[in-house]
Order: sequence, then C-alpha cells, then structure tokens
Amino acid sequence: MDLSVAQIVIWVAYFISLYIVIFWLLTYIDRGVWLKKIEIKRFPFVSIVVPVLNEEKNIIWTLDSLVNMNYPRDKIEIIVVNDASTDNSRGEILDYISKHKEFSIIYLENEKNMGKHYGVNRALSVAKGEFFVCLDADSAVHPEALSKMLPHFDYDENLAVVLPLMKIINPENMLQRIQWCEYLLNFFYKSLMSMVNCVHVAPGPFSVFRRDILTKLGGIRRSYNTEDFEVSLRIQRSHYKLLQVLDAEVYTKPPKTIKGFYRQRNRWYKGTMLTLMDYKDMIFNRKYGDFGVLQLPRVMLSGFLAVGMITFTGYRYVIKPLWKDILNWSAINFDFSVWLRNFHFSFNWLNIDFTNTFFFLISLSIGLIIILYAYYYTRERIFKFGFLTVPAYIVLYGIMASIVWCGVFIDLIFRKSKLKW
Amino acid sequence: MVERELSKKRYFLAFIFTSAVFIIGLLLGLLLTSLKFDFIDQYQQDFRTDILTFDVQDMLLQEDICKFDVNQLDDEFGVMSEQVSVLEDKLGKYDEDVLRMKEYYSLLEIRHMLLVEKLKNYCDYDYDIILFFYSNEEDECVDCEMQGYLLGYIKQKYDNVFIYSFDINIDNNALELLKKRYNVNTLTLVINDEINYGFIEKEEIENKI
Repeated sequence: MDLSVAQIVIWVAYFISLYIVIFWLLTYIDRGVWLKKIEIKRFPFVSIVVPVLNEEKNIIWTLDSLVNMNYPRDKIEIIVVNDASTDNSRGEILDYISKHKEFSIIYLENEKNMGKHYGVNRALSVAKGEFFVCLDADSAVHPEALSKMLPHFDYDENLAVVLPLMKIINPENMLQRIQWCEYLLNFFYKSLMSMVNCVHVAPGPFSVFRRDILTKLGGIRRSYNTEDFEVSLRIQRSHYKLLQVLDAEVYTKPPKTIKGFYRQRNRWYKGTMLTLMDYKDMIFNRKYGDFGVLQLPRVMLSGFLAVGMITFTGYRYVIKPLWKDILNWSAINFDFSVWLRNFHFSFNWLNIDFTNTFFFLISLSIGLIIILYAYYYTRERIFKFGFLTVPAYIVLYGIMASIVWCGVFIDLIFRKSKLKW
Repeated sequence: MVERELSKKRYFLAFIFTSAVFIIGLLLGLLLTSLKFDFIDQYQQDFRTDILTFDVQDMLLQEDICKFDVNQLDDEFGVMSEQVSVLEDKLGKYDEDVLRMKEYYSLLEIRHMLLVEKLKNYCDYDYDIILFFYSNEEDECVDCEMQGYLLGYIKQKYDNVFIYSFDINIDNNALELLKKRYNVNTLTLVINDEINYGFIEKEEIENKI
C-alpha cells in the first residue's frame, strides 16, 4: 500500500476524532443524558447581570425576556452594566427602567470601555442574590428557564453552575441555519459531557452560578476574551460541577455574515488555546479525572486535528490534483471541446478508494445518529428550516471551522494574539 | 469537592471499537484491491483471446486481413490502461504486482502495435502510430505526466491515431528491443517512426500526424 504523509496525517486525525466520538457515544449508552426534571420548591433571590456594549438594537429584547420570566419579581434583581457604549444603548436602557419601575433594575455605567469581565465583576460586587446569572445583551431567555434550572442546585452542593440549552433564534440565512444546527449538536454533546463532569465552558447567555462559589473563586477574570472558558476551568480545578440541562432554553442571535462568523470563532478558538496554556497543568492530569485525561486534551487537539485535516485533505484531494489539471490543461491550450465532444459518463466501482470511502461512510453514519439524537433531545424538527440545513451543516461546518482554526494558528504564529470583539 | 472518575472501561472500549473500524476499513481496501487485480486479469485474458482470434483470421484469410476491425480492441485497451494506472496510484509504482501487470500490459501493447503496423502497411490505411516512452520517476522526467495527458487529448481528437505508452523502467526483453530500435532516452516520442526527445507541444504533434 502506498502511504503518503498526507494519508497518514488524515488517518491519524480520523482515528483520534473517531475515538472521541465513540467515547461519547459509549457515555450516552452507559449514562444517557441529564433529563431529570425537578419542580421548583423555593424561589431564591437571583441577580442577573446584563453587560452591554453598543446593543441598542437588542437590549430591549433581552430585558423584555427577563421581566417576562415566570419567577417572582421580588426575587430578581437585574443589573445592567453599560460598558461605555457609543450608540444609544444608554437612552434605551434608562427609558426601559423608567417604564418598568415595578422591577428591581440597577443601572451601572463604566466611564470608559473596560471589557466584559470588569462589568460582570462590578455587578457581582453589588449583587445580593444567592445565584448569579449573566445574560449577554444579544440573547433572550425562555420564561420558564430560571425555574427549571434552579432546583438542580438543591440536590448537589458541589454544583457550581447550571447551563441552559442555547438555541439560535429565527435563523435568516444558511450561515445562521448551519449555526442553529451546530448549537443543537454542541449542547447535546455538552449534556453528555456533564454526565461525567467534563463540561469545559459555561457560555455567556444565562449560565446560573452559585454566587458564593463564584465570589470565592475570584469572580470573572480577563482572559483573552474567553472569560466563560477561563471561569469554567477554575471551577473544574476546584472540583466543582457544571451541569448542562436541556429543558431550559435561551435564545441568541449568531453572526449573519461569513466575516462576522470568522471573527467570532477566531476570538473563541484563539482565546481557548491561550487560556488553555494558562491551565496546561490540568491537561492529561489524572487528578481531574476524565476532564483532565480526555476532555482538555480533546479541546487542545481539536485545533490541530482541524488544521491537519483541512490542510492535508485539501492538499491531497483539491490542491494537488487541481494544480496537476491546470498544468495538463495548459498543455492542450485549455481546449476542452474535444473532451466535451467525447464525454460519456462512466463509473467503475473498482476505482473507488475503498478504505477512505469506508471511513467516510462510518463517520457519516455516526454523525447522522448523533444529529438525530441531538434533535430529539433538544425538541427540534430536522427539517424545520428546510431540507438543506442538515446537509449544509455536514458538508460545510467542518470546513468553516477548520479554516478559522488555520487563521488562528497563523495569528498565533505571527503573534497577532491581540484580540478584538 | 466532587469526586473525580476515570472512565477506564470506556477508554478501552472506545479504543477497541475505533481500532475495529480501522482494521475493517484497511482489510476491505486490501480485499477489494485484489478483486481489481482479478478484474484486470480477466480483461487481459479477453484481449489475448482477441489477438489470437486475429492471428488465426490472418492465417486463414490472408487476403481478408483488411476487414479486421482493429478498433474493437480499443475499448478493452482503454479499460486496462485505466485500471493499471489506478492500481499504480493506489499501490505505488514499486509494487511487485503492479510491475508484473505493467510488464504484461506493455507486451500486449507491442502485440497490438505490430497488428496496427501490419494493417497500415498491408491495407494502406491512414493510421498514425505514436510510441510514448516515459518514466514515472519524477527526478528522471518532470514533463512525462503532462506529455501523457496531451497524448490522451490527441487520441480523443483523432480517430486514426494509435498511441502506445511504455514505462522505460519495465524490465522486459521485448521492450528492451523496442528501446534499442528507437534509441530511447527518458522522454521519447516516436511519431510514425520519427524519433523526438523531450516534451513535444500539441501543435508540433498535430503537424507530424
């Protein structure tokens, strides 16, 4: 068998990816997902911080969802922190507060832009709630979300954070629909991860923290604009638990353009890699159980696998043959008329690359099983946004994410680690 | 503090399942590649039968040799050529089975060429015969692949052109004779007995046929 470097790299990446997917499938068979529904018996006081930076278009939607929550209004305080927005966010917020005096809404404003972590910590310092929640100003929450998430804390004193199921709201174009699909899969995966306490990131929209634990751990720290990941690592390092539930929903608006998607993911992935370097002692550390031995190495490897896959697959199956074709076409002066005249479709199944086709079909089958499970547990219909969404996700998402990873590595190599929102 | 667990059993099972997928994939590849050899063997057998048929026809009906349709062998030739190059790509140019198959294929090519030459001379057919001597070693011949593609184009464009490709590194006495006859260098193109060395452009080939 003729083995090229490209083929070996592709197979190694494939083996590791398949191993990780099979591990989570076995976890599902062994443990299932967290479906425990507990009726709320007490209504603890909850502080909700909404950090705002130029969100005049979304802030009312976000605040509306909070005041419409099915939770006693005297048990909630909303702390809006305006991080020196340059648009009319301030006017919108103050107007909203004046119209909703029956709610406890505190308005804080930073004189200059200080970053999300500063605003959240400022809110944490004045928060009175037993629980502390952060809701990004481009997201909204289901009326029942809080009352579905809080009861879990009563049954486990080591539980530090409960994460909601985050869904994309009203995806308008194919890029947003692909992200809609991605979110459902991610949160299904996270629910599996939480069965073995392997959740590695508590996302910005509406993760509910025990305030005393968060305060004890030092609040939110600035960390390459991926503070969600950093605080989760600190929680894991202190051996607390993060639980992903699937019955409490939060809605968010994803990037609409390729450029926006690239910038967002570049920030996430780059921040993840840099933050992970600050916690490298946890990687492969048996003290942290599956989280240290499997999950963190997976997070670390995902970028390398993506870059390895896209570069070597691209080289072997696209760039190399295309370059060869261009050279050959130049030899016939790009005269395709002969080829078109004599063209007849012929298929010989013996010409198929059997091994790689088999691997591809196995991956596709496992992927489809996971997609079906994800849609089932997140209560969504596969064809809700048309027949093309899932195929587009399968075909394009991996390529898109891999391209972003390539950009991240280029940035890191050329030390462009200064991050922008 | 929550107690940490290490899912050793699941790590082990995941490794077993992943390895199983890999082993099945690789075995499947090997199995189906051997089927491909059988497939080509069958084609070579058919081709040999057709050549023999021609020889017998030739002996029985000397004066009717011109009625023989040489194009009927072309399809089999095309499939064989494609399969040999697919196998070479898949198993590598140094694979013993590939080399054996290429050697046999070259002999069939020579036999076919002799037949076409005979038809050309005896029946006065307007056939053009091109012999293409190439090497798969990239350091020996960088233009060979492009020349091969160009000849494929010529073959498609002109019905009466017969092209025979020979890997100069195949070790066979008949091929050695042919190489001596045309004083073959690495990339050599023999167009109707005229010897050309190096890459020959499209227009130049078209002028010579």
